Amino acid sequence: MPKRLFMLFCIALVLQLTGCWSRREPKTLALISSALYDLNEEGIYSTTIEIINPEAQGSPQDSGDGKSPTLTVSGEGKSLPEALRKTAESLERNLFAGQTLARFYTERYAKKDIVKDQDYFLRDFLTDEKPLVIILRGDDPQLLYTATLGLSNTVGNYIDNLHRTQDNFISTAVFIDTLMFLKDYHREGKQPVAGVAQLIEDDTQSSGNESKGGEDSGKATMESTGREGSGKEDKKYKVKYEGLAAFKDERLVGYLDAVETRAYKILTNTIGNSVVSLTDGDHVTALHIDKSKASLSACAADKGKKKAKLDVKIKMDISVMQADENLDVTDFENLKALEDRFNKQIRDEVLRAIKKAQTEFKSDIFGFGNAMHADRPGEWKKFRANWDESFSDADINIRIQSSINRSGLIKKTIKNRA
Amino acid sequence: MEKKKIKDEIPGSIEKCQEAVKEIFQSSSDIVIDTFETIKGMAMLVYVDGLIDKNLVDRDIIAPLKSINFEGDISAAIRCTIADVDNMSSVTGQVLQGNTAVFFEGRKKVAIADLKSFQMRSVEPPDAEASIRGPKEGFTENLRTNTSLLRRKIRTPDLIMENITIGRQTNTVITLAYIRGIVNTDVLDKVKYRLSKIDVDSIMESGYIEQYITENGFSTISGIGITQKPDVAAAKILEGRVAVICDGTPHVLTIPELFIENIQTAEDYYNRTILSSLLRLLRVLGLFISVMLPGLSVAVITYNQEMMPAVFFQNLIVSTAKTPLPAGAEIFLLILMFELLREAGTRLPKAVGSAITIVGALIIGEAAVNAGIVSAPAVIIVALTAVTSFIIPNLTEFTLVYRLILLFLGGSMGLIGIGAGMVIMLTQLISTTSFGISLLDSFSKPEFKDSAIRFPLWSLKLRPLSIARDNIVRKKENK
Repeated sequence: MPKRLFMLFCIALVLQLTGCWSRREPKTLALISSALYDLNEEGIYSTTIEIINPEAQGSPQDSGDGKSPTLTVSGEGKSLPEALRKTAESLERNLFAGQTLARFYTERYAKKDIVKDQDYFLRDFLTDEKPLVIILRGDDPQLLYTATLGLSNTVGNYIDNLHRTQDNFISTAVFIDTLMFLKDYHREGKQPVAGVAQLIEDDTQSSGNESKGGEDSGKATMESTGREGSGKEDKKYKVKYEGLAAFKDERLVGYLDAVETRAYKILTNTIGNSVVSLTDGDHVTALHIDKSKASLSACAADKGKKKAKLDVKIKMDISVMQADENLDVTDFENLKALEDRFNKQIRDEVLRAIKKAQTEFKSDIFGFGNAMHADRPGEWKKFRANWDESFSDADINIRIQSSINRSGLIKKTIKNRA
Repeated sequence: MEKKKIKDEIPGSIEKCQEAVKEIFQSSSDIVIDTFETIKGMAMLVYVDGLIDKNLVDRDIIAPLKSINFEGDISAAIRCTIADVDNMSSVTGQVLQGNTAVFFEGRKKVAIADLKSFQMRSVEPPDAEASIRGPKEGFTENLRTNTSLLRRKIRTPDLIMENITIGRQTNTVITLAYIRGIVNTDVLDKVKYRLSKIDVDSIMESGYIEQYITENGFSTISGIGITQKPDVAAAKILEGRVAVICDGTPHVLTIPELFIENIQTAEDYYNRTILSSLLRLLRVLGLFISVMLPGLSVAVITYNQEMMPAVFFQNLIVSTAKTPLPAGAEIFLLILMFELLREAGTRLPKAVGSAITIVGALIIGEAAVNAGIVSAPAVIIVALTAVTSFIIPNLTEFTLVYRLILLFLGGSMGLIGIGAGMVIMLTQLISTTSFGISLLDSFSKPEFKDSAIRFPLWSLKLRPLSIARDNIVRKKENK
């Protein structure tokens, strides 16, 4: 009997760990899909969150009577948590941030300091480190939630779906979640980067206002509850997710464009598969990067250990996706020449990206310093304090080795009638 | 004592015998006492109407006795005699078993003739345990048919069928079937001892015996297997188990039954290896779903939403937004509704059975969701649970009880509650024994070749070591 009592006691102890008080009934939750954070010049934070509207997102037979699939609410405050709480004031449900997919930060906010506010996201038990960190370019960030989206119904889902497809398939954008962002921030000799979203005018759907009816569930015209009247109704915007935002410590310092972003992904070995077009006048050859392995290293260029030298070695497996009419893939020499042209183009792109980081950002977003820290800890000690400057005027040495593994199913090009 | 003994004796004259028999059976309408005259004196037949074949009685008893060649020697005249008894109580017992008692003037013994013939169900496929491959026959209510079905499968003198009669009023005949030399003698002794200790007035079904001899009275698992199929019973006997056949029921007990046996079916051995193994794994999955799914889903839905995929949770929020009940109550309500429907479906006559299906499908499946009383995900969860609960029919009690326990714990403590529930469940399973053999014993012995998967038959060289003790080699090494 004492044994049984002891067992009961042990089971009762479990009650301490959790209990009805941590219960969250789904129907009482307002599910945050994505959030937009802003910090103005006066130091006031403002938050706009996108909430799934359960009334509108019905089952297939009940498609929500034309209601918007999401609801956006805003709040302001002197700190991020305060601003977030303010948003909940007009909501009759509890905010639930455990499934947030993306956090957008405005450009002006990112230029100040977004790192210190990440403390809240990690400290609070409701928020976590999963959402993507995205810098929203553009003058009027509030337009984000009126933008047209691809086939998704919320901005959060749109970015999440992009992440699943584009990250591996197009390689012109980076998807950095909060944890990766903060890890980079804390890593020696590597500066953090973030994804970039931009609102551009959408001229494909300039049909006006009558499309607010029930059939446009994919278009997602948001209702605004706390926002000032929208005078820009006539213009439609869409989200363009491309490029990369470079940080220097906690501040945003600039952007890489699509091509430079691909170079970044090559250098950091995060490239999935990507298409590279080699142009020569009218002739275009498209090559596909199957596999890419880059190794970075950095070392002292002189005895005094003042100047650094950056070394990049890239090995790539590529295949021909489209050959121009002059290319005979059966000839080994032709392929060799093609490889050389490809190497040169990749080399130019990589050089362009590194140069930009050196001159414009003065920030080692690629992690050369980290490579030195790992390979040559002795030298790193000397460079550590002023790495950003040493990085900025370091010499660059790039070696690219590529091999065409596959030339496709047909031998001669389809245009060649001879 | 003395008085009773005198009374028990067979009186010399037929009149006295008739009086004695009438005193025993009073005025029971189905007892037939037939007195007639032979050339050597009076004779009297006693039998139960409906249990014997009157034509045979006429041919094999009355005709020889009435013949002019009858010389007064009963046992010579009647060829179908099975015993000669010399006391009234034995006579009574034999008559009640369906035999015919033949009294003869001046004879102190009574000849017992076996001319049984009564209405019984023929051998049919059992209603449960249906199989596609393998024998279709099932046990019947008749003990002798059942033993013959077994004997036809195992033709060895080592197959022993021991009879025990239990029940002061019902005098039910119980047969223990086992194979000498293979059976686990510890288990056999325990079974015999416990059967001998049963002292009740009635045994109506093998379920009575199961409950009297199990050591797990309040447990959800009895440790005793039930089967309606002779091939299953034969296979279990051949692995060293004891079968208990009870007259009057097609449900045969096999002792002991380990936990793993619940996910094994006879067809597993008839089908080829890969299919059988996949089906067994499917049954393991079914068991998990049946026990865990309601509790686990309530725990995740109400406590750990961040664990769900984003789109899944969005849809969940959408579909539960308009329902009044919390998730746990919704699922409990649906489980309750399902059990009510199932109970009604079992009791209903077959002709109106389809009415229940329509009511269940329409009211629960459609109307309740459309009316916003329960959410569609809850219906799907309970439907899946209900379907899987039929995959392992022998564990219905176990799955139902732990399903509710886990539902309660998951709804009140989340995933930690599920963990606590699992600990309780495993503790019970581990500590439960069946006739001295632990229910999970098969997991500690090298029996993995025939557990959640089944290796080819040629590789199953040994009998299950947790049961068979002496003669463990099932298949000799190929030379």
